[in-house]
Amino acid sequence: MSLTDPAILGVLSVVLLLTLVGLGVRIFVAAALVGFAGLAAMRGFGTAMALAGLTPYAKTATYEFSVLPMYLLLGFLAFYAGMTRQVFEAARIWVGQLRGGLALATVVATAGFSAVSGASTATSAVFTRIALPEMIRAGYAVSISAGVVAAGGTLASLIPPSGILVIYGIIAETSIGKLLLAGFIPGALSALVYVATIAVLFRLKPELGPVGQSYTLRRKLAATRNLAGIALVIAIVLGGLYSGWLTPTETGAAGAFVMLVFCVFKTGFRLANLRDALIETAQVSAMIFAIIWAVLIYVRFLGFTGLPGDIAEWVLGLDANRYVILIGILLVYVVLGMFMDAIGMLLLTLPFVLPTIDGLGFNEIWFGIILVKMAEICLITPPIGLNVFVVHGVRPDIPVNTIFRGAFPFFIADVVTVILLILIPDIVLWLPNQMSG
Amino acid sequence: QEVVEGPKVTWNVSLWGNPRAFTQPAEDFKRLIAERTDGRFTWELFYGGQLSGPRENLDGLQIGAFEAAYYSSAFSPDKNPIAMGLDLPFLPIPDLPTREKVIETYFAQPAAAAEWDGLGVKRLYTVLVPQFEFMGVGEPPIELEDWNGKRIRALSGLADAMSALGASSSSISPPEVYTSLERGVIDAASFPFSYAHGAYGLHEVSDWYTANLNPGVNHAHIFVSKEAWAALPDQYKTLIEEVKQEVYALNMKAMDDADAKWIPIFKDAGLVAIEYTDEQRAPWIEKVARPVWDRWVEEQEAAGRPGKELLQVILETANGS
Amino acid sequence: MAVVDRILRAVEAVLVWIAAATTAVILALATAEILARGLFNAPIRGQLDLITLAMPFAAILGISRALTRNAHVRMPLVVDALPQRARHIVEAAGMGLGAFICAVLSIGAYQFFERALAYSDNTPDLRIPTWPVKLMISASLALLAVRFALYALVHLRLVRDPADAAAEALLPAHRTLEDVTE
Ligand code: NA
Ligand code: NA
Repeated sequence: MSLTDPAILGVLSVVLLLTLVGLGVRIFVAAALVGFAGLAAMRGFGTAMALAGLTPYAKTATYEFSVLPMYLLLGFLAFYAGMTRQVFEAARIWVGQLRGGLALATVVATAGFSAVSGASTATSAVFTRIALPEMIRAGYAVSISAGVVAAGGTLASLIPPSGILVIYGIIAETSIGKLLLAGFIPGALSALVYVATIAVLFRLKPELGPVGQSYTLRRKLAATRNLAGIALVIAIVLGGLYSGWLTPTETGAAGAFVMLVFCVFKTGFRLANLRDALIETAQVSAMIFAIIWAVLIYVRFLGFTGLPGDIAEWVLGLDANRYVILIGILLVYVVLGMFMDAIGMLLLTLPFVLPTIDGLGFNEIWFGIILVKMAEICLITPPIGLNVFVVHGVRPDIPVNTIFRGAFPFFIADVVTVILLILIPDIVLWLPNQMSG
Repeated sequence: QEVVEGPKVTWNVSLWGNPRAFTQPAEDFKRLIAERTDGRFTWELFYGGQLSGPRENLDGLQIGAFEAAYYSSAFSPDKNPIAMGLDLPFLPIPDLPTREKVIETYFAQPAAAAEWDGLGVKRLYTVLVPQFEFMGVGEPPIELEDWNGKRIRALSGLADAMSALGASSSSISPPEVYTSLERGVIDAASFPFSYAHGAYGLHEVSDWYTANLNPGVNHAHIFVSKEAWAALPDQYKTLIEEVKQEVYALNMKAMDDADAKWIPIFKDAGLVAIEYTDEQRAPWIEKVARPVWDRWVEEQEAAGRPGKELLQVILETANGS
Repeated sequence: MAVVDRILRAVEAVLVWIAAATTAVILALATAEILARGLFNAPIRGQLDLITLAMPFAAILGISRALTRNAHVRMPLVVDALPQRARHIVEAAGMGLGAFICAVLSIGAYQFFERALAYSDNTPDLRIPTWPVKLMISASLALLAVRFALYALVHLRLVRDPADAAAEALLPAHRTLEDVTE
């Protein structure tokens, strides 16, 4: 065996990647650098340079990916239109008087806001601005407050619209409309499990935060009326998708456009808000796409080592119960998820996981939801958890490890949800099966 | 058969998507060449765009990232204007054996061969894909006029030809076609018939398909980089030429098998097959295809390429003359 | 260094504006397609090509400014725990690696642009040349490489003198818990 043996290179690359990331090198730099170095070891410096240089164009000049900036813009516009605050206020007025009320309100509000936000990271970002200061001001523990906004954001990837479900649909070449629909009930279920988690946590440790004020029914109904705007967006985006006006990619632009119209008619919305929303979208897009193309340089290198194909072959050759293999695959995702971000993990693994899943006779829509749920878990688990970093990005004053600690109970909650989805596939498949004609 | 002696050579071959009828020729080359060289000349097939995205496969060959790759000439029409001649709509090529003959004759023309050479690649093989056909929902287009007002999914030359019939074409990406048909965003979509319609599951949401509209093909080729070809021992070069005929035969069989599998499924799903008579097709070709051919010829001649002669080659070979 | 920083900042501000404007164009194009198709049965020919080519502008031009805002994802746990001098050494190395890989990618992207120009690479439907977009990507990555290199130098200056306030001011802001909660 030599140092340029593909398997050795593959293992070395993982070690190098983790080392660089651990030393604080930006993820996209680490992934691109290790991918490039691996390619150079296999195909020479000049070829590796030319090959890596293809990726930023190839992985951004993609029509289907336009849904990502559109979903980001939709989320930012909803934020500037004050919808985040309205959702959060309504949730706070309804459930704030319960034990852990503000944390519960955050979960309920992130679930509601998920209906206009297609990106977990964006959702965590806006709730870090809206809900986190309120929780800290009210005397909630910083850790759990930051953890709940990091975890609540992940709901956005299951409840439609969802950028990552679109990416899965593109790679798996399966019905994106059905996938988006399939995410709805599991997303709502995840929110319920989060609610139960908070209820248990605050019962066990009441010192995590005080109980809030309670309001009259009239006040509650008044707060709910403010949500008419969000309901309109949901109706137009989902209605457009299911009535056939829109392709899944177009739901991004349609949602952003409807939200923009809503903003224009709303008092207090300024042109400067639109400008800020667009600039924030441009900046967050640059950050997300840098990770996408950089991880794909690394994936390119893995492709040249032939490891993904070898692994798929080996898994299908195993003589084991298909659920045992499925759980094995999910455990691999738990490990991968420790150091990969959601999109990177999906792109990295799907080329060899999908044939395996097909070979085992599992439903691709169902697996897509399970996988996206696994990918979302990665966003809140150390050492690399994108949502945690996003919260930290908005609030650099809160240390990353504090946020990871606060997100841990929700990791446990997500494991419970995944088990439920595996035991009862109808939670995922019932709704999309209603739509097939 | 005698084993071909020679040094150990490995080619990495960049493919996209999962193994399917379309990629079968690469598998057949791999198998036949390995058999004939006793495993000395091997093709490593990389699926799923692991080595490169489909559009970047030509760049990948040019920079020496891998030795061989699939590439479709329609990805970037102005890169290979001559090859686009074979993609012209409604060329009168009735079946796959004729198509094979047309392809090989066409690329043997000096101008066509020089085009690939200028791009730094050598063509080993052109995949025999069946002609495009439409599959759609709603009123079946029995007559020429029925296409008027239909919203369709078609690209480049075919889109031009169909818009001459009053159809409006959207450029919807393949993974979104199923949902778009299902939800009525478009009325019909064109794909290589029948395997692609079946693979995308379009029959699940469609009412009819055209069985012999035969509006054309987007050709995909297996290329090898010039450097890798130059470095290949002569006996291996000869071997590739030798097994090519067998690959073509297997290619045709795979497509026939796909028809045998999918067409009954389409029928069971209650789809209406629309057949056009020659009397119907002839005026179509004159009306919608001829102008597109003429424009292509003009463009080639204006750029100093023998467009007229090349079109002649296609039409005559297709005619069997 | 401060002068270079000011120039870079000006360029980055313009680029992020172009990225933002392109995002608006994508929104407008896609909306126009939906309305034209839905209301008038007249889809916009080639909007897929147009949006495809617009995407790199929306997705890449903001990349250097994102670095100045400390928006690129990283794991600062270990680095933040280091003593000041050691921290600046590690940061300088990280920024240096960033400068290196971005320079490499910029050259690779430039070669991609050269081939697109030489071989008339274009889009399948509208046949729009792709080379301007590829050149833009190479330039964005070159700018990012310069930005990384500048930060590497600033950190090196801070290795020599960790109290150099002028150098510290050039780096992306580092806020504390007290700043935010008042
Ligand atoms: Na969502
Ligand atoms: Na993680």
